[in-house]
Amino acid sequence: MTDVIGPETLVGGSSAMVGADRQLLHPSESPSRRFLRRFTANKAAVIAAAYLVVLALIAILAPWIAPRDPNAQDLANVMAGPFDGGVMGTDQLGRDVLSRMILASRIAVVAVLQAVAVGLALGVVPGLVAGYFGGRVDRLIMRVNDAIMSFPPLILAIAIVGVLGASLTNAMVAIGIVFAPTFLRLVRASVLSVREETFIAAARATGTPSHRIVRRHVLPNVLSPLLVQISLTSGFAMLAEASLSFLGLGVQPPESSWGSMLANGFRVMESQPWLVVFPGAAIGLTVLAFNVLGDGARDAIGREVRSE
Amino acid sequence: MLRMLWSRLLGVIPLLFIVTVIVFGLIFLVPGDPAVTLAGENATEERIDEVRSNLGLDDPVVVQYGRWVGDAVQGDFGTSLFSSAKVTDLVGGRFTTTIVLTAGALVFALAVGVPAGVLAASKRGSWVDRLVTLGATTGVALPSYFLAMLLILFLAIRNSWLPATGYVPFGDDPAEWAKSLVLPSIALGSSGAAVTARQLRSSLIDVFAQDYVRTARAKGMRSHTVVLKHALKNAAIPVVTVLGLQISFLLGGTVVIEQIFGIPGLGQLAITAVTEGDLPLIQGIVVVATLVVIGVNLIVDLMYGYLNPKVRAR
Repeated sequence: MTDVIGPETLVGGSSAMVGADRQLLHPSESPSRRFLRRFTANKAAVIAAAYLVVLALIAILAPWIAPRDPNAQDLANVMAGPFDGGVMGTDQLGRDVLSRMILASRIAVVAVLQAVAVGLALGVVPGLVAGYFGGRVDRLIMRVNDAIMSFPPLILAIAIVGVLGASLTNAMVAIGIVFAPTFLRLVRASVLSVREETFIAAARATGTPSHRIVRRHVLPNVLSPLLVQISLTSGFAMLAEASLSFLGLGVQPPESSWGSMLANGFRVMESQPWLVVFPGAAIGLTVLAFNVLGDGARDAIGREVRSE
Repeated sequence: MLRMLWSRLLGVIPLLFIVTVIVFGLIFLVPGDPAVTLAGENATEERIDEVRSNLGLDDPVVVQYGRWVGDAVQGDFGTSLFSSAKVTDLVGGRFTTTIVLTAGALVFALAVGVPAGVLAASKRGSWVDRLVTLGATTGVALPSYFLAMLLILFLAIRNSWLPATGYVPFGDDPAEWAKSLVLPSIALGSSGAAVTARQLRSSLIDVFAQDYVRTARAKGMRSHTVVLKHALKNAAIPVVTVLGLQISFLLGGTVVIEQIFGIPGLGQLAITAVTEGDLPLIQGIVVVATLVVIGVNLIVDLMYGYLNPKVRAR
């Protein structure tokens, strides 16, 4: 620290630079770099992100890394405990639990993606329209939105699945519909907060068409809160998928998801509790990871450094 | 306060209109000809016609909606497609059980969540705080039915302290009735407890930083008086909001919990209705459950008025 004239020397070059100070020292730090710096400082969020990356890899590579055929029955070797027959034991039909868990992770990932995609498709555009145009359109959209939000989510999802027919895709479409209002509200609120900014007024004054203002100026500002919400919603979607599959309204045999494995294990829980523990723990950990990731991302985006 | 009640009640009317349109509209999601699909596989011509006339499918849509909603307002949701019983009677017979279970879960959520939140906020940064935060984070992520299974395994099977499944009506044996509701209420209410603890902790921490709390402390008021008399009432507002939202999730959660514990409630009825494709029954259940949510949210709105006089003026 001699003759280098940098931001450090301007503020006095304190060696104990933390949080907000560092931000003052790096006025040119790009938002994405700041996000990355703050996010990586949160150990729990990094672990959650790593867990989800590993889960995604397992899901993609599932057919190749599953040690056995997940549907192959071995009736001579049923309900074996962990390490007796396969790492996680076998189920009532002698099927390898580890292989089934691995294949089920693929179902979980696909299911979450489907639900989030449906939720975004139904929530983002109406949210943008309601927030940007306001007035009567806004009131109408919000009325409908409030009505959908007043349905108990799982009950509405069950009703929709009941009408469409039980299948994983129908279940995830139903869950997507149920979660769309959350996205809609969030997008609308973010649009309202940027709508009155000077740069939007400037764009409008120069005659930029609405759809371009929304796409070029409004949408990027909505993106970061939306990403946080996507993470949190994924956790809920995961729980909802497991619930519906548990009830037999989601994934249909011979395919299985962690939820249906849980239902399956419940019947023989007394003699082989591991059949419940593995899928239950997988659901719990994944939901936890999505929540921690979402919270971490929210804190990292926040304008001021939060200690909570 | 009375004016606020009126304006909130008036606001419910358009909400109910849209809710009924959506629930009525479920029939348009039925793939193919609703009468054929709902009659089930290998149905006879007569059966299909019966379903068609039961649902009044030959009339124009507006007439169908008008008739459905007109009956619904009088508490008539039509006849079940399968048991030929009145939907209202089927739902009515199950309603109380589900509400009791939901209330039990809410009581558990508050009984655990409030003390945990207060303790964590008062002893911020201590091991108690960390324990509560950890428990709350886990509680939100664990599916209620997984917790239910663990509870059954450890408290009912390994140690027979409480009944594993089955429901005893209150009229048969009040003591057994209460016992049969303990595990389901805990399983259903655990995530509510977690959310309450987390929300109360953070809102209490905000309130503790306020000047009036510092003043109360400075003039020598005892710590628990400050918390219970001054801080808690203001910190309760966000908690009440969260609890209002929780009702929705709890009612949904009863479906799974009732299935696990074998409790004959609305949730179990919903599963039967869905597996049989009994549209009038599904519609009736959704409307009743939604009415409960709307009602609770109305109460929550009014509680804001009590907790925060500023809201009343609006």
